Amino acid sequence: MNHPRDDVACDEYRHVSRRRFLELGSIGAASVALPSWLPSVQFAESEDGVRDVLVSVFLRGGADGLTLVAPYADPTYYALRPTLAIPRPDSSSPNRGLALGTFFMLPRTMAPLMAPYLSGELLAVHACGQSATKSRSHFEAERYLEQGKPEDYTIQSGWLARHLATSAPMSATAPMRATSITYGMPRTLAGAPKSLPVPRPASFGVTTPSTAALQRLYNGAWTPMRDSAIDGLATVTLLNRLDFNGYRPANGATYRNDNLGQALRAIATMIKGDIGLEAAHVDANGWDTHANQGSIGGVLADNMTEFASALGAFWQDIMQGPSNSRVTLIATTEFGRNARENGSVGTDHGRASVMFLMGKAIAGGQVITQWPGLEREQLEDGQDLKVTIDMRDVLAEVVQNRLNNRNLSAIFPDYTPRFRGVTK
Amino acid sequence: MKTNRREWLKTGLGTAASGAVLAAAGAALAPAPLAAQLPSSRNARLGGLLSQLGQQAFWKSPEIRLLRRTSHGHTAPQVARALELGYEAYLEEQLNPQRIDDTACDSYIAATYRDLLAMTPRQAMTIADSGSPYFQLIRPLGRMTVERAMLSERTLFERMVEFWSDHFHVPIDGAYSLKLFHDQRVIRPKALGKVSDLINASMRSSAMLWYLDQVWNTKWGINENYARELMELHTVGWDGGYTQSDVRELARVLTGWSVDGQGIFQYKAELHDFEAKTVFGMNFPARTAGTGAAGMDEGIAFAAMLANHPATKRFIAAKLLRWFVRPDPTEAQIGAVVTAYTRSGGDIKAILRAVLSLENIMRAPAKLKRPMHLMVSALRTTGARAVPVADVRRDFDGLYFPLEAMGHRVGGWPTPDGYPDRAEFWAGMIIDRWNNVNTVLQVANTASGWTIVDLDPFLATPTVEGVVDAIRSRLFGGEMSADLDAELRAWLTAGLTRSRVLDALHLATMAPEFQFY
Repeated sequence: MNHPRDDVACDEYRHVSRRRFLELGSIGAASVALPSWLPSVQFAESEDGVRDVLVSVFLRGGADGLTLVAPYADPTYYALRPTLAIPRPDSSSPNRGLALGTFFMLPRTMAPLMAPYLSGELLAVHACGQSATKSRSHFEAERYLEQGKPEDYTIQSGWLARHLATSAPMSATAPMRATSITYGMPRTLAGAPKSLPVPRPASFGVTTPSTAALQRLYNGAWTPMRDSAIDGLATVTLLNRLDFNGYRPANGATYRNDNLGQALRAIATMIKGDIGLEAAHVDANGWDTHANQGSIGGVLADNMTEFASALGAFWQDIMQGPSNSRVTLIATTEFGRNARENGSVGTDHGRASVMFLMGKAIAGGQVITQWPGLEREQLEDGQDLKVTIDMRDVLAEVVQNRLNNRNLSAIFPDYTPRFRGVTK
Repeated sequence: MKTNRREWLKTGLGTAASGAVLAAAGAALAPAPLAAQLPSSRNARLGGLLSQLGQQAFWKSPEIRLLRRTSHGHTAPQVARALELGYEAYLEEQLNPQRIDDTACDSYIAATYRDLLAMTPRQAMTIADSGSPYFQLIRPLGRMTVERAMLSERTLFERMVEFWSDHFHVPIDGAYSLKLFHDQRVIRPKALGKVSDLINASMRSSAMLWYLDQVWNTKWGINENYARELMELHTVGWDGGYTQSDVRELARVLTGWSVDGQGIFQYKAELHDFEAKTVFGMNFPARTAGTGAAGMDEGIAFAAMLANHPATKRFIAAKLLRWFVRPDPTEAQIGAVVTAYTRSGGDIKAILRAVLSLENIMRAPAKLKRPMHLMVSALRTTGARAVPVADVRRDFDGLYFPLEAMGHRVGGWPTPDGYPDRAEFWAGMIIDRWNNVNTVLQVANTASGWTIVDLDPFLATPTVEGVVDAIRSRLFGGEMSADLDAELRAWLTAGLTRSRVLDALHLATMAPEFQFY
């Protein structure tokens, strides 16, 4: 699949406003009844511009927080990572890190994140993870984080899906409230009303002898399929009105031609297209670095380059200048990795890692942490960075303060979050 | 207690239950209704759906149901065969694939993939190292797998190959492109053998040992990756009762299980940790370091324990029930399968007889086809065939790329747990399903066409009635919804041209009931 390069895009980007869309008419969509097991809820406000659009980025595989945001002032870090450590910012190494202050640094491959950080719109939350499960299984840990409650295999829906289910649509007639730039819906959005995975937004359409026949067939008894089909057909109509290939990012931003870059570019197109989108998810794979991790040149370095340049471009495009887009981006990973590197120049599954938040209303320009230390007795089980901040604290604060939804007990069942000051 | 077919049908569940059956399928679909999360609300919901469903009762015939469950779509001869043999005899035939003549499929595969099948692990590794395994290894293996599913008469066997390939998942790209040998030497020969043999073979699978970093796990540097997955994904399951300490200790037990330079399993005693270990209730006392196979007996003993562990039986029983029967197997169903496992010493055929019992299949809610199943069933039921295009072998490339686009490429899942077997994961892709199922039915007279559907059988009786009956019989085993019946009639009444018949086939494969089995 060829993506046009942004700097040579030729078509004028066709802006489709919500009002224009309503004039054009959509195929109509079923309303979502509130599930009976949810506690009674107060609907969040649904006036325009009251809530942020939430962009969720999931680093799958357990990203190494001790490389992504490395504690250069903790001498134990260099003892634990003889071959994998990032050189100190004040060293003369060409690979020296970029200081975020007197304690933490970013690897040089994450340079595109410096501008949003220095503008106070990028925040890192460190030694952050899942306090209520010690699972080191990718699948369990991902599941627990995405469903918003650990150690519970009965929950089938995602925390972000439940936010959407307990808030009125920002736009009553939009056929798609949430999307995921993936094949299949991630658990974060499982069960979300009016949501659809759109792996290739630019070529979203249906080939059929008769759309009308298709609609009639799915209007029958296959209830969940019906909603999916009807909303799907309406979404096709809608996305076809957006010119993804001709999209021109603002402020000279350039999205790289890689998976994450192109996914965030598509999300930016949909946000600017004002189509009623409230949440978008994207996965970044390949963070499971058991062997030959390559913090400086290699797999992890390449992943960090892709991650940082995509976020950097998205920040420049969506969060800078006179743009009034209200958007918050969250990047999470299921767990971190062992503090000590293993015998194969990699790291095994660990506990705490780092989270990133980005947005105009995020209390950025700092690393929020209760640093537990890296000495053996400070590590969990003598091997892992301790979880001192539960990720749900951070997610819940964003849900309440930026998504204007106070139904935290439905979104994060059986948990009382402690806000950590991640929003302004 | 076994119910024979006659008694079963007398209970009347043959009709009433299939309404509930469809409703249950609906409740499990995505976007997964939040209400489906608590049993009580779920049942209330089913009641509501049931009344909406009215008398739409699909697939009343036990043989057709069994055939749908145990194949990637049925062919006309298979439908005839299943009805002729009856439920038990047909199941028994499928459980013994060597009794089924599969010469046509085998000779096609042998001729088409001669180079691939003649390859040695060392050659594959050399190609992988050269950095371009795509055309020589990855795509041919993906296509061969799909084509076997499409052409084989041994349909239950192919469904089990798919099941175990997800269970003992090794990605097709990575692990030095050794998946070919995992497929040919581990999964396919043992897919209907004994569970313990499969576990043992997978522990000696070079692809697996590379993929899950077991080759890096030595007494000097422990790598837990394979030890964890051996318990979590392959045997006792995530809730099997092991601890992080068990994972670490098992990793020590497995030090030395490695791969040689030829890409073949090799136990290397010099890498083995001979110190004392305690793992999951088993004690391995410290020993004097030895050579040869010294220390390998620890892993072998532990694997034997795992294969017989109650948690393993439960885990595999529930997973097979989800694969063939329902997303939420009952305790009674799991118990019956576990009993069959225990009595037969883990014989997969005996386990499958319990899973595929008449009661289970007649109570089974309709299940959403995963993309590969959907695509292959479109080809099998319509009788589509590949058309060689001059000097370019396009055979079923058309199936390979759509699967890639739908995230269901053979061996393409990025993590060790294998592709999800959950409807809610796949159901949101309705748009892609519609589009791609059309793709494989394209007539091959365009630059992008790949296959030809032979329309003649559908036009054997060239009337609207005749074509609709043919579609009902070939695509749905003789049972189709009134809604689809009406749409097809309306479409064909406007003219019985070949292109309209092809359109009618498109519409039928896009219909709700074709998405399920």
